[in-house]
Amino acid sequence: MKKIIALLIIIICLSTYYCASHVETMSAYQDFRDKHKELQHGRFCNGDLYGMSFLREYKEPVNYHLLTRNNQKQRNVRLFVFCDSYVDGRIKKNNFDAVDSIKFLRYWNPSTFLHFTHLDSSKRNIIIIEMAERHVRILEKTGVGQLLWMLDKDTIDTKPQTATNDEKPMTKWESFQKNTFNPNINSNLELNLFEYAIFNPIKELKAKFNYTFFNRVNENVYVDEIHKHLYYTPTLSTTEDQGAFKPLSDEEVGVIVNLLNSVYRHYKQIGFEEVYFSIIPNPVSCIYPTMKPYNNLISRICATDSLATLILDVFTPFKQNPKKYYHRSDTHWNNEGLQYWTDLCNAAINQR
Amino acid sequence: MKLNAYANIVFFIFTIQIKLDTMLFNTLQFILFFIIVTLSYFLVPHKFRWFLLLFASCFFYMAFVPVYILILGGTIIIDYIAGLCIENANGHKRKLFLILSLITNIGVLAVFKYYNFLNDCITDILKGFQHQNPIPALKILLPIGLSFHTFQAMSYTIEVYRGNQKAEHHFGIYALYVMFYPQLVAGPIERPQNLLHQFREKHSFNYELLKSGLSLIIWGLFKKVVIADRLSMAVDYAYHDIPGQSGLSLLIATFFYTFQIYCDFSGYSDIAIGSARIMGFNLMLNFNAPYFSKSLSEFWRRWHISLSTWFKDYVYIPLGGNRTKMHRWFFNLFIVFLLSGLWHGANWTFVVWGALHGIILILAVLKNKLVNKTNLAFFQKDRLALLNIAFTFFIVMCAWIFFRSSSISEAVSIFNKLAHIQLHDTINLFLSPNELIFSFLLILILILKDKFLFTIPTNKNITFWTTHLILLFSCYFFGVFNLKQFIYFQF
Repeated sequence: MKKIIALLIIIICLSTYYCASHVETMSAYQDFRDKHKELQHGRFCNGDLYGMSFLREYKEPVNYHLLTRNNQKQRNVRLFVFCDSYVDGRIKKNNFDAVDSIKFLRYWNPSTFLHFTHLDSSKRNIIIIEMAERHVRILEKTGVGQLLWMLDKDTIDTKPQTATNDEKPMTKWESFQKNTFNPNINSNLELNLFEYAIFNPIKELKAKFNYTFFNRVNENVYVDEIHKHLYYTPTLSTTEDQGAFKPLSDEEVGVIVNLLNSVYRHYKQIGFEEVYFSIIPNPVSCIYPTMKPYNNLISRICATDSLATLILDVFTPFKQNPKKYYHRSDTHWNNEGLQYWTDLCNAAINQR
Repeated sequence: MKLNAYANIVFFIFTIQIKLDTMLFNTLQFILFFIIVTLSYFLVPHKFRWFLLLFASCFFYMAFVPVYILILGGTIIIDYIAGLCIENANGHKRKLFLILSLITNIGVLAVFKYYNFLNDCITDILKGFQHQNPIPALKILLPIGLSFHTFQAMSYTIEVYRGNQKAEHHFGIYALYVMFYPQLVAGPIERPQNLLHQFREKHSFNYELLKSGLSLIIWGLFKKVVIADRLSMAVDYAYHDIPGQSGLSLLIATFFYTFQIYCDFSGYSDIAIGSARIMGFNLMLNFNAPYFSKSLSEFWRRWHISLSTWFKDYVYIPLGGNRTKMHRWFFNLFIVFLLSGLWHGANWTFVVWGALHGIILILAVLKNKLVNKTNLAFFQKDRLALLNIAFTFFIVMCAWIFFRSSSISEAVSIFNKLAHIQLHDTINLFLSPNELIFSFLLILILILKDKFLFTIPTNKNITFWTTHLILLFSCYFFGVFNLKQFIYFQF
């Protein structure tokens, strides 16, 4: 009997280990969890900053449900959205009047935007490049930077090719290594074993204890007790590029504008009817800009005369009523913020 | 240029970054691994157990950087053959095989650990003569646990040479002796006489050993995640910006570091010893309340016991120990501690740390001789026990400044700040006042446990399991989980 129990425990532990280590199995299990509400972890359902800090007082459910547009307008727009987690997968063609298809291009993955299917000239091809304010100063480190490097070296290949997001196939040895000695195994194990809503009360208790007695929270989370809001700590930095309070010189503004202009001209040249940029402000830039001297990155870029591209401005309205547009326990905007931005994009697409 | 290209070709695979969070003792991965291996050990027939442990140890080691198993494998093969050759040879050949084995082991250690350090020294010297150093630096990472398993392997060949240990003919058993996973990456550094025979003994599951082992593991985990990692926040903060810190902050940070390194290392040792004990293996004690030592020599009989006894048996005594003229005795002491410092790391700070201990020990010997000569009753040890403990602690704490600092100049600037300490200095250590007090409370708990050797009563199962579950929960609730590597992993 004892041997059977021991064997059972070994099998369970081995299965758990395998599931966390094997990439495809882990992915399949995550998909399974996403489809079953009772298995969904509570970490990001209530905001990613809540998921890092587990401060119960700031817990707020995250839900996106955009308006569907069912008017009779002719859908003749192919929309390409160069985006990050603010937008990726959260908008559909039915949220727009004239959009026939949407393709998401993830600018952290260069292969998704360097090659396009042949632009269908019978449709209006429009590209919207959305980025978070905290990423503007590190654009060169993203795929945008790689694109610009290629532009500079004149090595862009825009011949019609099948768009692909696939990575280079791994060799058998690489696959074996990745699956057997998975570098993410500990975070996967934590996800599989303890990222369930049932454990949240204990995590909240620990977080409460640490915050109340030691004034300590996750290093990536800042608690704004005045405005009852959580911020992503790097956005408050005075030294890091992601910081809203890192001093910004006019020269650097000029460099950023030139970068945006280069991207604009490239996409116009290859056949896009219009190219829009949209910089989503950091929550702290709208809610608590007086915390430290704010660098006013967005308004300074928009005010630059040499800026060639069109900017879809959300900074001005968000600044006026910031708490309406942001989740207090998430780095991103809430449904109102996303809806506002979608409406703005829709209006821009419709006006031409 | 050719050498540079060759070096790059040969060593490019060793530039792989260590995955810092894998298989640390305070990770979920290790917990699962440990459960699987331990249960399997008792289910598998005795004759296959060595294979299971060897396979598990290989997997454990490869979880850090897979390719480094090749280095470990290579040295195991060489030492295994050397052991057989030493046993079968006669006369000078025995010594020859021993020397070859030692050169291989020390050579591997020297290349991976000291090459760049020595190269930097040559660069600095040549700079003084306005020349460039033609020898390229190597971009290689130190294989994890190299210093530990190298010394353990050397211990084997030396004991075979001395006739204290028969050469192991079973390659798998020998490989397991070097690679036994609980003590593979950070000790205790075992002796073949203690460990080898245990792999042949049949161990049955023993409930008392389970409780004893679990007790050690949980307490070790508590020391690591609750005490050591919490103290490290203050220490790292203070030592990161020394010019911006007050003398009082640095004093507290150094005091914290004294306990951080103890809890970190002894915590690891406890987990290692406890893990092995559950399977029936008896590893040597590595720490014995070192901060209660009344003298520095006693400190080294209580701190990292496996390393200090290794140096005593294989360096100090062969050099003559204390059975020689005084000046030679002092030379032996100094050399041993210099080497001990160097063993810890390729940096002058470790050398100075070791040298300091050597010098202070020599001074202590001279002081004792003077006391004995003058026969002053006042200086008899038992009267001044508390003072001696405090003084020894203070000396050790000061020496840790060199150990923690990244350079000699940094250490000197810390001493300078400490020399100008003022009581009204501000304390800015990242921790809130409550957490500072809590940290001192944890240190007090640690001292009380070490001093009075508190053991949780294990007679009644309910008491045992309840108290240990509470302790385990405390590890989670009060633990700081920033996945800091164990300090001694870097050695």
